[in-house]
Amino acid sequence: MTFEEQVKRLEEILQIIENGKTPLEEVNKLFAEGVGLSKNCFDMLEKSRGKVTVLQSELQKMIEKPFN
Amino acid sequence: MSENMISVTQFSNYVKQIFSSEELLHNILIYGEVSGFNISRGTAYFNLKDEDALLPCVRFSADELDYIPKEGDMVVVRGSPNYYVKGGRFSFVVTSIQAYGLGLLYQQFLELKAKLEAEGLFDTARKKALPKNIKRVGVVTSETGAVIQDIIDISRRRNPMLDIVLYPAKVQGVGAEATIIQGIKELDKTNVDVIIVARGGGSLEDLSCFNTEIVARAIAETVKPVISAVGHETDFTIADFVADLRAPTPSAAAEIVSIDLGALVEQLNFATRKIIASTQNYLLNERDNVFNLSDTLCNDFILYQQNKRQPIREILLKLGQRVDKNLMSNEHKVQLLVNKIEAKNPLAILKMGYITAERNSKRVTSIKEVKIGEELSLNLLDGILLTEIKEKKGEEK
Repeated sequence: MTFEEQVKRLEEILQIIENGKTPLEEVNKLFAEGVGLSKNCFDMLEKSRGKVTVLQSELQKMIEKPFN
Repeated sequence: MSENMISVTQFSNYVKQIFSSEELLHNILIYGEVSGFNISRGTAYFNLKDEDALLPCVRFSADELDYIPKEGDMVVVRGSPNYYVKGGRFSFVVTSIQAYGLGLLYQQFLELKAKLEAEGLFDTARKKALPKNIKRVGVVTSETGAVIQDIIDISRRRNPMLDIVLYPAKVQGVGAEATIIQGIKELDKTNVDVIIVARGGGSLEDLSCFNTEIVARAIAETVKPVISAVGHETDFTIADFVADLRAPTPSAAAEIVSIDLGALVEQLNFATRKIIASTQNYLLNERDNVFNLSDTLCNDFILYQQNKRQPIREILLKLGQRVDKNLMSNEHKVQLLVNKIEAKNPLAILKMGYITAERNSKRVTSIKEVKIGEELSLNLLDGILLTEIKEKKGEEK
């Protein structure tokens, strides 16, 4: 699932839990799925942030090269 | 038939406009014989003539002239035509006057220029475009002097990665053309992207090697584009006309071939910073969003559990109350029983101060069971009293 799909699914899960009509076992499963999704999303964001940082430092090195 | 009429001023201004707008007539060289040269209030007036024509000339600021021609001198003048509106006179406004000795060079220059131009060597169509990304530049010039130094300094400052290949050439005097031509041809065979043919400023004679046909043809025949950078901005040579690009000065040529890497890097830096900033922003927003969603998920789950727990709690509460009630009533019953049992305990009676009587270990409950003079045991809480019956009272039936 893409990042956006996961966020969308997370929103769906919230709606299902919020309506309060879902059986407990189902809600337990949904909660576990939601926690997994949010962890995934955080991981993906963290990786992207890492990439940005790497890119940033690489670019800075590249830019500095001709002058050093 | 109606014709438009115009005033003398309009007409004169129109004529003046024709001369001033025709750039081919500007800054040109004309040679001829001087006649009627005189200076009046700082301005020199004279005619330039040959067998068939006469051209009135004027030189303002005559005190700047370092050569005053005599009547009949052959001279070459440089200047532009002008129509003097107020006096209704046409004249050639001269900026420089030189003796014909030098003028001959100009004449040769003009003839060669005309010849090569007729051949199409100056056509814009055959000019080679400079490559966009110039990495290696060939320079044909003197290895000593300011020109090569300027070219190196300027291009290094702008683009430190640019390679400069110098072909040291003689740029004036005997044999100069040969080395210049060789330099152009040699560099053309190498992997340079462009060739600069350069020389500092100098007199017409000094620049003469760049006005030769062989140099012009060498420039025209190259595969690589050639930039001419000869003399000062005002100096024009045949090399300039035939080259793919004329730089006004050698320094200008250096600027043309070297992109300003500093500016480019600054631009790239700016774009990079922008990309990084907006990506980080995007990630932060998404992070906040996911954080909020996760938070809501936990809260919702807790809320859901609480909602499910509530009825159970109520049931438990009711159940508990019922059990309590039950227990309490049972306890009460037990207490009552205990009380009853307690009440039947003989010790308890004794405690209260009552006494039991026995005769021959047999409980006596009536006066009929005993006779006067008989012994009677009285049971108290802490012991037994032995007594003798003296009298009986009460009813005896």
